[in-house]
Amino acid sequence: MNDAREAMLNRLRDAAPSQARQTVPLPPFARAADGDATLIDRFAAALERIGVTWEVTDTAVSARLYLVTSLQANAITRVLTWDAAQLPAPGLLDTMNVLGIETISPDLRAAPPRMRPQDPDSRGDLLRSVATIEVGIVAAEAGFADTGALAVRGGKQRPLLAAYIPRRVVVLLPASNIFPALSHWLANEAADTGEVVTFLTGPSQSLDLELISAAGIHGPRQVHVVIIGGI
Amino acid sequence: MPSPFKTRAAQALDDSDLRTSLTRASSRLQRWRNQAFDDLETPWADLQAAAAASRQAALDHLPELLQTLETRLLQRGAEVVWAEDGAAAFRYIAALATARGAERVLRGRSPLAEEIGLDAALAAAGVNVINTHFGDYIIRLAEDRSTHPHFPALHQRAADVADLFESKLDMPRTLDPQAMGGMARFRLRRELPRSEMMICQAALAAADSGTLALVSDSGEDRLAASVAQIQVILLGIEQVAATLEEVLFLTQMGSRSASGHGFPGAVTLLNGPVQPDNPDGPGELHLVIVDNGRSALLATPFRDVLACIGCGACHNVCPVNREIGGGAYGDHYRGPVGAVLGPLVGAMPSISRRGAQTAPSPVAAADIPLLDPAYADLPLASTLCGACADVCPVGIDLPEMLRSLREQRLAAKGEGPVDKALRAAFRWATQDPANYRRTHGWLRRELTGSVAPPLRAWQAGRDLPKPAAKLFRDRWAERTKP
Repeated sequence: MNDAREAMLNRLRDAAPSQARQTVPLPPFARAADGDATLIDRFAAALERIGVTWEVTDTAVSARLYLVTSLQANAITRVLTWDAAQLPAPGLLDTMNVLGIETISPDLRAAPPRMRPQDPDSRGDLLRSVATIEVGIVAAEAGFADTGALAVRGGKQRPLLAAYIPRRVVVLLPASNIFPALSHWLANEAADTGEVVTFLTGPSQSLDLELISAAGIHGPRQVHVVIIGGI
Repeated sequence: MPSPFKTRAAQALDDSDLRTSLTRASSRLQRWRNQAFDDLETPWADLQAAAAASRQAALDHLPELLQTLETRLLQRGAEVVWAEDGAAAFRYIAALATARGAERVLRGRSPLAEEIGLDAALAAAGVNVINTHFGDYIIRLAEDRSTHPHFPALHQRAADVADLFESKLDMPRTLDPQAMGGMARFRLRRELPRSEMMICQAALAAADSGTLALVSDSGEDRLAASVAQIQVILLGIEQVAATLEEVLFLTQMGSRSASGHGFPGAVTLLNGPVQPDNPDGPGELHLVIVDNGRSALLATPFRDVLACIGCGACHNVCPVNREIGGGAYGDHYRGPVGAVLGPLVGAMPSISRRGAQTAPSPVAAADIPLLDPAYADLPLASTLCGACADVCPVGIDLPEMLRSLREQRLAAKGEGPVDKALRAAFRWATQDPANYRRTHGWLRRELTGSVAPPLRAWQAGRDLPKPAAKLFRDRWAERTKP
């Protein structure tokens, strides 16, 4: 394939003009209707436009209280989530465990797929065991007030499957991580795209049948954002 | 004998259900697209100009951008492969599947995989391909062809899909898209644990950060990429931008243009294979950069078509596409942009070979032979109304390209007696006001029914509005009469 690489690059060089590359200024996607609304109001409105529900809590402690109360009220007994250290609500998983809510952090490394019929189907077993878990809890690196999109970074102790498999996903978002737009986050030095970042933009939605929405085919049917003040 | 395109177009025009579905769907998509841009403070023209500038800058610097992208990904442990054509891409992927013992692979939405016939080639090599996109899944089950870059099953009616699911999946008949989607969800999730390899296409790549952007509406790519250990990502050589900011800007332009969404349903940014201590995500990442005639196309006057970001907005506004659907265009190239790409990509291999033997030089439009009879008629599938250029988020002048391709087609086949007669008639009708009046009156009479034989075949595939009762100049004269 090295020969192909050189041949392709040579053709591209011959076809390309020789001038230096210029930076392209990119205009914002600011909404005309947003006016003077606060950042958090704009974000909340954007979430509602894409079918996401939300709650604002004053502190991480009140976020923890709100979450466990909601889970108990909905009779949730198992939750797919990240390791405790990766969530911006200290003590959340411990509290859930004390209250009898099982917390599972899926790890596919420990479950290789079955490549031959005689191999054990440990990956299948793992995926089947978590397939019926109704709620996932993850955290977002950033939320964007123009579109309501949420940037969720995967990585060590942060399985993204927790955001894809359950029918309902709760996203914890520190209020300080709300940005006017994606471009503001990317311009922020603290922005971290790590190895993999996924953007959640509301419930998973397919319009493939006569453009009528079918939700949850490849992801959650409901997304709920908990905006945590004070952090 | 009519060409394959004309035959398919005639069949589509005879299918009134298809035309109704297409018109309704296209109108809705167009309305959603307009709303998505009307809501913004920034004028559409400014957004379009910025997106066009970004794509032009990328096309001007592809060697530099692709090499930077390659370097970044290699540093993080990815494999980067350069494939001259579809066959080379297939050979690499098939060998990888064999080496890893992957008998089943998941495949996300990928127009490039369709272009190079990847599924069929892998199936022939004994690899079972499972389509993860709901629309592709329907198409595969129906043994149909996709008709739209974003919504491959756009032409399918819910009732037909209900019959399909009943006969092939033993699903009790229902017209509820949510229930049918639930069946697809069940079937696709059952495949996830069995498949170790995922093939998808990056919508765009960012050179500066070495990032591959996977974009989908419902998130099939990201789910499969989390589960599959081996990720193969196809990338056309033109699908690169300088910065991650540009990639995400273009992605948002694309989603607003495609379906009116401010941000795509699901975007995943991959910066390479994940580290061994990650609980999910691909441990192996193979980027296959595919040329398939594109580098040669870049040296032609049609280079701007490579700026396309595949949003499908031109399909939704095209009065021809709205009547015949993407399926009439052929297997891989659809809609106005396909009408340009189809004839050209077929012609490019000969130019590539010529370039390899001699010093390559820019190719004039007249030098491009329209080799593939399956696509040579596609430039005729346009009224040249310009709607496609108006809504193109990256400002591609498709009407001018279509006109130029028509010119070449005519030059290649020569002007026949009917062409000459029509040209003479047009000249006669427009060179004198009196002749114009006579022609107008004749058309008003003739267009009420079947026209004379030379025009009958031409009229068969067209709905022509009846000319106005009075000429504009007469109405103008009446209104301005003191």
